[in-house]
Amino acid sequence: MAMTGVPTRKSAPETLRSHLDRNYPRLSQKLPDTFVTPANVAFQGWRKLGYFRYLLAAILMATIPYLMDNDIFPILQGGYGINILFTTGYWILLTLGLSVVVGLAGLLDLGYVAFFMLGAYTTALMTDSGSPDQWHLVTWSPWLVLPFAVIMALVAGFVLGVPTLRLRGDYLAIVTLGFHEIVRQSVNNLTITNGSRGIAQIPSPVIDLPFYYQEFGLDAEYYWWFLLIPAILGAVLMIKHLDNSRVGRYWSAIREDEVAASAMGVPVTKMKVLAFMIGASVSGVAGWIYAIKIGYIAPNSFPLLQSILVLCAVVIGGLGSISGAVLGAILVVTLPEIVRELSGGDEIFGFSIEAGRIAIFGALLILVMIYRPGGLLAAKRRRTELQEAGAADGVVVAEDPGAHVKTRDADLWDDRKKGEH
Amino acid sequence: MGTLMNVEGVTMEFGGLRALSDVNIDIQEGEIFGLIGPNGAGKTTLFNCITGVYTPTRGKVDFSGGSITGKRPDQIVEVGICRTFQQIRLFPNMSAMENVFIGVDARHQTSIFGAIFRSPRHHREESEGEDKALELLEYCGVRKFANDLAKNLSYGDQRRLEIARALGTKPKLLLLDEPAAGMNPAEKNGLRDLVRKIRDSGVTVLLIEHDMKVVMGLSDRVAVLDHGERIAFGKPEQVQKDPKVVEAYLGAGTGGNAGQPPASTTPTEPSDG
Repeated sequence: MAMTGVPTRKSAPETLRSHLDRNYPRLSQKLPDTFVTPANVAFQGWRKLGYFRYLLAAILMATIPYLMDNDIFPILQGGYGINILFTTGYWILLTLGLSVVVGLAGLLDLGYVAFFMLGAYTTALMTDSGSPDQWHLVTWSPWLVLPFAVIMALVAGFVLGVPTLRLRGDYLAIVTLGFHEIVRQSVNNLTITNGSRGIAQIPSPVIDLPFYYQEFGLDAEYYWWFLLIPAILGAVLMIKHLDNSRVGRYWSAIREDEVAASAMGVPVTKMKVLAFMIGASVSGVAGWIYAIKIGYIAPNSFPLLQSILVLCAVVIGGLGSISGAVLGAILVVTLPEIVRELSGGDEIFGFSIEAGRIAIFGALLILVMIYRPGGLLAAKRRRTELQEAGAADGVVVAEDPGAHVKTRDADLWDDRKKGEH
Repeated sequence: MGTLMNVEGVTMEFGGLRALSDVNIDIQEGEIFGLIGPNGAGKTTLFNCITGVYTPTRGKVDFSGGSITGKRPDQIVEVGICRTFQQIRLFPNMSAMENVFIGVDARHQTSIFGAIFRSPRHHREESEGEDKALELLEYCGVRKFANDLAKNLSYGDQRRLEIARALGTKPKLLLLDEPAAGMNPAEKNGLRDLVRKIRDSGVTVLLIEHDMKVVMGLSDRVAVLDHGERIAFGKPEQVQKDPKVVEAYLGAGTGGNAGQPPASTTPTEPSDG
């Protein structure tokens, strides 16, 4: 299974050294052969495993709750640790989905949590939840509802995408920002969603097989994490495959130069809508898991700030990088908890942790943008974009993406302008 | 040999400004057709009308028997027209190889599901596409830069890479927008050979060019645009002698000197943008 980039695929099999040279040149210089050569065995072995890597990763992830149950960090024992784990898990889904939209296709989406909200509300309305008016569409088992939560998010992605994805940059950002508020205000005011009171008692799923019975719930917290593992790994696999394919190349072409992409036969709007829908579907799964785990959703569970925070996590982690998206989600969820632990209370400098975390991430974002503009784990292409920006190589290089787009648009209209004088 | 493309009465207006008025051009299969004219004559606008960037205000464009007026750029690539840009528009942070791969991808069928589930077609097309892209890089003489980022190539090589990328879409008609702009004489010679080689391989070429040596030496037929109108049309030798052409290039007053061909580009704005 070739997971490496296109140009090297037919050359000799990648070694750890060549991998480092290509992706982390500065780090590679610092590492001596005495370290790299033995590590290379593990590296190439890991590569050879192919899809078994995902199975291994699943097993490793499944051990996390057991590892957390130790005496070194007693705070992590019991419900607290597992709750953080669960929150991190669904945040990883959110950042992974958004990194397709923002990182791969280059579309600035500020209303991403709207799809999460739609997935959650679809779940609430299609299961036997306790909305007082009993405004249920159907009352199915949560398992059956999962595909519908995804479909709902896909449809929403399509409906939002088709008319708006002709817009660029800032304009798209504003429209998506509006979309989040439209969805939130709708569920806030509709009878069917029980308005601002929200929907409670969303049932937990039950595994009911002839040879195995398990209820998800408060006394089986681990199972929620086990439910997230396949979702996360599935999303990672899907995004990796998309990135290393015709679709991924099309997305990077659109990001690089939309006009040139369309002149090379890339159906630009279609590919953008696809990116929106892929991102939305991952978010829909996250919404489903969130609804059945928390059991209660209300418009206030999905503030606009959450959309911004997901974007923030993706940018801090590294746009277009899968490991970056995962790291971003982990930071966003765990940092406030660490701060809470260090400050020994729910307050820091007189602010609540909840409000403080926005300040923390504002500061972190600024620091990351100054010292590692590609994000903490920058994708390879982003890194090259940034490294070479401003280098005097005699070629037009985009230092400011906005300015870049502007000149390019101007160039399209060249003839028009010339005719005017 | 039949007519490959027919541009009929194409008019392009931007508000009150008429960039093209009633332009008629027919392109024959297998020829190199030169499109020349002073700056602002509407040459690139005509390219944009053909390739679907603009929809002409009036008139139509027929391509191998069907109308392509008003189609989207990607649909126009599908029927077999591809272009390069006056100001190079490669994907700067992708390797030369990937740039050409994008062009080759235009003829691929792998769907989003094929990509996610790694269908046999995905594997076949990835492997074939890679071979095809390398072959095209070789063909255009930039094979050795396959793994370099497009923006790190020299100006002349970027032009060649743009041609390779366009050829990847398997065009029947290749539109080159000032391919020799900014090249030194040696590079220009190489480019001339490349364009001839492309024509000989069966691809019709429509060429915008300012360098008279390049355009007159290459073209089988030439059309001259001035202020959005076609003022001359025919064999290069005839067009060069046309008083209207000389006037458009050198300005009224010198128009009587019909024996002297326009030597090179207009003196004020040599690179057109």
